[in-house]
Amino acid sequence: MEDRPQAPLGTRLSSASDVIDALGGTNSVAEMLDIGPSSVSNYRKQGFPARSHFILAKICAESGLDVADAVFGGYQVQARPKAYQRAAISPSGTASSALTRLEEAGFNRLSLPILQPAAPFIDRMGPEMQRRLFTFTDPGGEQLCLRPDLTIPTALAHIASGRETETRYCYQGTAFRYQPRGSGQPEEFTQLGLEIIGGLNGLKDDLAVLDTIITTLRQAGVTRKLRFVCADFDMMTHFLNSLEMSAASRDIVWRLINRAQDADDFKKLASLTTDDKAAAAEAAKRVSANAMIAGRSGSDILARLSRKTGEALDGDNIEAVHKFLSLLAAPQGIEQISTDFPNMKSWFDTRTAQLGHVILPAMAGAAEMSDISFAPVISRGMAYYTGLSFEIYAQGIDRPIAAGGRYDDLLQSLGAAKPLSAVGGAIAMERLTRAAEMAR
Amino acid sequence: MSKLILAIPSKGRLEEAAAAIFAKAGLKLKRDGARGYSGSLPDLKNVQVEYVSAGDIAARLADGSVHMGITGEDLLREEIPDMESAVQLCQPLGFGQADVIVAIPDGWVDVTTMFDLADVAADYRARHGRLLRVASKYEHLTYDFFIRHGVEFQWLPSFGATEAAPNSGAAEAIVDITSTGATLKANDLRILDDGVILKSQANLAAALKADWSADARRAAKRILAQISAMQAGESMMELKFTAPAPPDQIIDMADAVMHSAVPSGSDYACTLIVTRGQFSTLRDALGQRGIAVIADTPKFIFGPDNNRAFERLTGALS
Repeated sequence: MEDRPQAPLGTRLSSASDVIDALGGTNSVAEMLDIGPSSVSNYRKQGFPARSHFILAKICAESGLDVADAVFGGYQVQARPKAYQRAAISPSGTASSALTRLEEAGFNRLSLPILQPAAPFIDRMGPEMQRRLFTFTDPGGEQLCLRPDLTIPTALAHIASGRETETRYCYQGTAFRYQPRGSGQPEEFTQLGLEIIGGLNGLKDDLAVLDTIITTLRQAGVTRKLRFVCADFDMMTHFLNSLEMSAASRDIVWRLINRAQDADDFKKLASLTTDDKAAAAEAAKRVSANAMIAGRSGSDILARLSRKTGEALDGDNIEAVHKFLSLLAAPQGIEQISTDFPNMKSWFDTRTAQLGHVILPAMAGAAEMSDISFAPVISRGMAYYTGLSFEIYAQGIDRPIAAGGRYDDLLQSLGAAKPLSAVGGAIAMERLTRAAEMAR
Repeated sequence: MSKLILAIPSKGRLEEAAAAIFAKAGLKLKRDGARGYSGSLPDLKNVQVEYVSAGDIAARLADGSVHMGITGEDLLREEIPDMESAVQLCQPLGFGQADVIVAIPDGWVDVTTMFDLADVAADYRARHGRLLRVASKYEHLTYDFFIRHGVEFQWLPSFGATEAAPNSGAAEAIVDITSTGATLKANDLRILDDGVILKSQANLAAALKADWSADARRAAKRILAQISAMQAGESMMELKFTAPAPPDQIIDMADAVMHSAVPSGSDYACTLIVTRGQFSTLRDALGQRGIAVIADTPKFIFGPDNNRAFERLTGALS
């Protein structure tokens, strides 16, 4: 339809006769409508009959003709809306068999609502993902969204069920995320996932999730070596706790690490946080301790002011974090970390033993050791991970084909009566299919 | 061939300023009736002027249904995702200057940077169980900037009296436009040290997705050259004086764009075109020599530089 002649802008066609001329004359319109030319001649005087309104309005809209409403009895074809990309998997494909296998392995299959309350996602997913939510207000005034993933809906369903014992869930469904124009990523995509909620087996549950995902990838035909990028929130927390600094400074360092691209970037950002004591003393005079300003008390404000001036990050700590981040990014850096940071040694020995005996072999079965790397933070869009989290990459596809991790505080923050451990992961089915095709 | 369609804000201060700029550039706008929505440039036949509501010009440029338009950079960046691929900012026009800024309650004396705000926002969530709320009409500019600075927040749509939101308890911070900062001050708000998101002004912008006929291109070239020549003139001063000898020393002093010294009787009639920055020095130097000076702003300076904006546009169109 792009080939049709473009009418000059600004000329509005106001009669049937104008439209017929603009569409190439009596004979060509007769051909479009599959009727005789004499009928079309009559239309010139009498106007178009209603049965031709739709087809002609459509042709005119496609040709970019501006036609007065009255010509087609008020019928208008709307401008073509933005084409959203849907990348759904056919139900008979690999996905369903994968889901069936999960059910057979003891996971309860959930069918989750596509419409979700917006608040839990806005609160728990961090600003980057917030922005990619399709949100809207329902006629009753509730803020809703299309689910951007299925983990939070699973958690909400679990809370609603009132169960307190370990439950294993699996699901497959469409998720929706706004994509910046030109990114080439689909707004609609399919997730196949599993979650273990209320499990009491610690890392063994992490391992179960990881193993199940790897097995699913293999069964779907992704036979080549994989690549893993891991982040360990526990490791980062223990590392930060091992540094001699206040809790407030620790928060600052953690946020800097989240923002930094790499170790050197961290150092640059950290150098910007030093504060001017004289200016702070001057500022303190402008607020009284018992004031209440936009939800913060004067005493809180003053306390934070003295904290930040008193405890600007010191050089040694910045160096320590820089070194830690550099080692983390280096091949086999993890081992070096446990020797270079003696304060963390005992924790590290336990944790690396666990990782080394439990998690890493599971990964190493599917990847070269050199293809298992650690980053301080992954899945920046998902602010809810609390333990080990991972992303799995397949050859030839630059986005992760699967991701997951532990999120122990999510359920309680969403309203569960008591803390519930949780770990899970999901596979991006469209990417999985592509990876499997490439492996063939 | 199809004409170049030029979108001009349909009313108010923006319309007046746009009309003034075009008049100064020697391209008077003629509106069909005081409230009509079409018009023309009598000096440039291949242009059709459309008077469009200021808020719609960005969208018209984005979809290419007008070729050029005058609107604020803030609106272009806010309303057009991936603006650079749809619109080119051809010429800043020197009016409608305003900054899009992040402001917080002045009493938050511990917060001076976006980094501080990120810290407070995290604390806010921990204490109040909800995100820091930021009131603004600029949804996209706010998200881009806050995400870049790692600040967790919730956007609160606000399309008027945004600066009142922190005092009324509707939000904790705002992203708004300000030219003097007076309204912010009156509402006990303070701009963060690194809180300027955008220094905006009215721009003559071109739609990259419009259908650019040869006529439309010719018209754009002419419009851009006229405005550029006018702006070049405005940035300069023209000095005229009569000196008893060729004023070589003065000419050496001035980094003049153009100069001439023509014998006139026993004297020399001199003309210098210099930047505004140099004007006072030269005036004083001439004054010391007892020479009177006539100074004025040149209306236009035509030269090869006038086509820069058009060349950039052609580059982006091909």
